[in-house]
Amino acid sequence: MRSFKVSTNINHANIFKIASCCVDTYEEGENFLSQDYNHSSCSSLMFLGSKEVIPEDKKSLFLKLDDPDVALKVGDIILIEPTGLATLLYEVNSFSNAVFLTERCNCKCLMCPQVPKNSDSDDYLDLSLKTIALLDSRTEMLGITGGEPTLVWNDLIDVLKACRENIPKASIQLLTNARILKDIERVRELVSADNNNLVVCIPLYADVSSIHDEIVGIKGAFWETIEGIYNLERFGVPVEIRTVITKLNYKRLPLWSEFVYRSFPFTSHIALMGMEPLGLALKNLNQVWIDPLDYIPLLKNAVKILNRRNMNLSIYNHQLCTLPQSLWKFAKKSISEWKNVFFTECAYCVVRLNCGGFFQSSEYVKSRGIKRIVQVNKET
Amino acid sequence: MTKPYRFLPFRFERKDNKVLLVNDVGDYCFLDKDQFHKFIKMDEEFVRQSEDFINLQSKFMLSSDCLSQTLDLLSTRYRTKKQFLYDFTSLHMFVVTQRCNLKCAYCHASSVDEACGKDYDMSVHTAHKCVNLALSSPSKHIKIEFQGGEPLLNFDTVKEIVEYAKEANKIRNKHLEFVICTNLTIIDEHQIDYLKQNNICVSTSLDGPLDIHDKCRRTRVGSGTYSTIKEKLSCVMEIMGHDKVSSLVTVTSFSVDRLREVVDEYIQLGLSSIFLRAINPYGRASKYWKNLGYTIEEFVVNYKLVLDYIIHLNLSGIYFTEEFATLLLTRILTPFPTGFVDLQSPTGAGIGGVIYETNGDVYIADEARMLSKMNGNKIFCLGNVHSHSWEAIFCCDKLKGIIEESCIEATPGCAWCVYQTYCGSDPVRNYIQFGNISGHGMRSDFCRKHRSIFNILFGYLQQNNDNIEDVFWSWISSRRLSEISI
Repeated sequence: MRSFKVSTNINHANIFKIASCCVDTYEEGENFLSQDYNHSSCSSLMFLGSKEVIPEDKKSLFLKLDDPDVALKVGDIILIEPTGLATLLYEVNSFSNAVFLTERCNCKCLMCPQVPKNSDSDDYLDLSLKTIALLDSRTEMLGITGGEPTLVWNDLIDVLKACRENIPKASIQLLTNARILKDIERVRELVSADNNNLVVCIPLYADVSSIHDEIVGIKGAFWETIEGIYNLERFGVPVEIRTVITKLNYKRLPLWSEFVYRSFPFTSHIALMGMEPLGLALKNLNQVWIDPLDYIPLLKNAVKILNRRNMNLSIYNHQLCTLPQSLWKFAKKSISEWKNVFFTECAYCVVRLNCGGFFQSSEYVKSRGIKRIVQVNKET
Repeated sequence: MTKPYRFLPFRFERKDNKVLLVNDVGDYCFLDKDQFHKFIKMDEEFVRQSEDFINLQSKFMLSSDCLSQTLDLLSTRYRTKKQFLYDFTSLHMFVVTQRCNLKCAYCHASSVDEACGKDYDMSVHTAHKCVNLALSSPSKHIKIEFQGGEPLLNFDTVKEIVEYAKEANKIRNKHLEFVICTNLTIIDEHQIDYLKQNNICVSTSLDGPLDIHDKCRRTRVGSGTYSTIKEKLSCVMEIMGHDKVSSLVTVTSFSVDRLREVVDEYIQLGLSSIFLRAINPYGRASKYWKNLGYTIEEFVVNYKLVLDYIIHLNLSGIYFTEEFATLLLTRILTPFPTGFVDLQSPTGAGIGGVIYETNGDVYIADEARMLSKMNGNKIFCLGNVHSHSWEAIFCCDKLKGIIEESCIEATPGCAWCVYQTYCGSDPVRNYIQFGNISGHGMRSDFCRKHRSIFNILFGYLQQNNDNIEDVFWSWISSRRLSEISI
C-alpha cells in the first residue's frame, strides 16, 4: 500500500477519513488535517485544508502533510502512526481498493511479489474493520487480500459480515488460492456471511498438477484449488480465474485456456497476468522471468481460444507496446495508479494514456519490446 | 514396478499417421501414431520427455496423480454433458391434424387429403388432455411443437392449445415455447399476426430453387408450391422477424448434387441457416425410394462440398449456418449437451421428446407414429391421454426397456466407437431396419452417415485452421465472425 510522511503530534496510531476538503493545489508544508467540526461525533473524520483556513486555536490537533504529491481526496482513508508514517488504506478514485488480512500464506509461489511471512506484524483485522466502518454505504467495490485470507478464517468471516453491514452494495472480490475451500463447509460459511456480492478470484497457473504445484511450491495444491472452485460453483458464487505468465507455464497457455473453459465454463472472468518482478519473483528471476515478446504468439492463441468461447477475459500488467494491436482491447490498466510508472521510452508515445504502464520494480527487468509507439494502425 | 500413470476412459481410432482419442466428457486430441504406442506401453521416455504426456493429462486421457480428485472433476463434467437427462421430456409435439393441402413425394407423415373430415383432426378435448400431460413433465422448459399434416388446417385447435397451455402454466411457471411446423402455403395475415403476438416460431420446408422444390413439394392436384412459399416466407419473415423463422431442406436425389444452389436460394430469401436433412426411407419416401433416394456415400461427398462452400461464404462476410454441423460441433467443442432428441444416448425418444397423435395416442417419436401408420405396429406407443395417467405413460416398463436398450455406451459397435461421446441412437430406426431397438451399430445407414459426418468435422478440426475454427465458433455461439476473429 502507498505510504508517505506527515508531521504529527498524535500518540496512538489511528485511522482517519477525509470528510471534507478545501484544498485544490497542494504545496509542501502548507496542507493540514484537522478534526472535522461538522462531524464532531466521530473523531476519525478529518478536514483537509491550508494553513489559513484552520483556526489557530485548533493547532494542537494538526497533522501536517509533508508531501505535496499526495493528493488526498474526500473519501480517502489513511492510517497515521505516531512516527509520522501515513498509509493510504482506501483511495476513493481507485478501482483496486482492498483490505489486507494477513501476510501469511499456505503457498510459496515462485513469482510472488510479496514475500509471505510466518506471522503477522500488525492487527490487520482491526485495521480492516475500522476501514470498512468508515466507507460510504454506496461503495461499489472492495477487495479482500493477503497473504492468503482464508488462513485467518474467523477474521475473513468477520470482514465479510462487516461488508454486508456497511457496504451492502459493494462487489466483494476475495483473492484466494481456494485450497481451504476444498472443504465445502467452509464455502457454506463464506456464503452465509456474504450478501450475494462475493466474487472469488483464484489463481490457477497451469492445466496440469505438476506445473501448477511446482509454481506454488505445494504438492497437491492444484487439485485442492480445483475442488475449491467446484465447491464455490455448487453455491453459485462467481469465480474469476487468474494466471500469471512465467517461464514455467507460458507454453501451457493455449491448452490452459481450453482446460479452464471445459472444466469451469461458469467462470465469470479470466485474467491473463504479466508478473510483477518484486519479492520472490525478483529473487527467482532466472527461473520465472520470460520476456513477453517470447510468449506473445501463445498469449494471442489463448486469447483467441477464450474469445471464441465467449469467455470474459482481460490481459493485466502488459504494456501496449509488447502486445499486438489486436490484443489491445483486452488489455486493462491493471497496475494501481500510484504504483505504476513510465520509463524514458514512453515519452511521446501516442498510446501512453491508454497504457497501464509498468510496476516500479520493472526497472530491474523489462521486455525487449518496450518502445515508443508513434502511430496507431486504424484498421484493428 | 509401479505404473507411471493410469489410463482414463477414452476411445480411439487410427487415422493415417495419427490417432484420434476422445474421452467420455468430450475432450479430444490427435496423437502421432508412434507417440500413441509409447503412451499405451507406458514408455518411460514418453513420460520423461514429451509434451504429449502433459497434453494427455490436460485432456484427461491419463491421470498421473490424485486419481479420486480427477474422477470427481470428470464426474462433474460428465453430469454436465448428460444434463439433458435431468430435464426429462421437454419437447412435446402435437399432431393437430393429419390433413394436409400438400402431397409431397417423400411425405413421412402419411398425411390425408385436406378435404377429409374432422376425424383426422385433434379435438379441443384431446388437446387439453395432451397439454395437461405435457405440463406435468418435470422439465422446467416445455416446448410445444405443432405438427401435422398441416397444422394451419386446424388452427382453432392450435390457438386453443396456446391459450390453454399459457393459462395452465400460470401456476406451474415453466418456460414455455411454441413452434409451428408448417409448409406456409395457406398462411394468412391473421394467422401471422397471431403467431407474432404469441411469440410462436415458424419452422418450414424449402427444398431449393424452383425446379428442385417443385419436384417433390406439390399440392394434392400436382401443382408446384415454390412461388407461393417464396412469397409467404418473405411476408412471414418481414412481419415476425428473421430470427423467428427457420427452414429445413429434405435432400433428395434431385438436390443431392446441387446443394450449393439450395444454399444460394436460402441466402437470397434472407434465411441465415439451413438444416440439411437426408431423406429417410419412411412413409411415401420408402415407396418412391428408387426415384428419391441416393447412397450414403453420395450424400456425404456432397455434404462435405456444401459445408466447404458455406464456410467460404462465412469467411467472405455472410453469416450462414448449417444446423446439423452446428449441433455436432457444439457437442465436440463445448462441455455442454445439446437438445436433439434424435441423437442422444440414452435415446431422447420419450424422455426428451414425445408426440401426441390426433386421437391422443402418445408415441416416443414421430417415426414411431409413422411405423404404426405403415403397418399398425404400436410397439412404440406409450398409451393414450384419455385412458392413461402421466405415470402410466412415462414410467412404464416399455419406455424403461427402450431407454435401457438405447445406451450406445453398451451397444455393440458403438461401445468402442471413437465418436460415441458425441453420438446417439435412434431406436425406432433400428427397429425398422433390424427388428430390434439396439440395432447393429456400424452396419446401419444411420451409423455410416453419422460416422462420415464426424469424419468430415474432425477433418476440419485436424487442420488447425484459425479461419475455419472462427467460423465454427460463430455458429456455435450465434455471433458474427467479426466478434470472434482476432
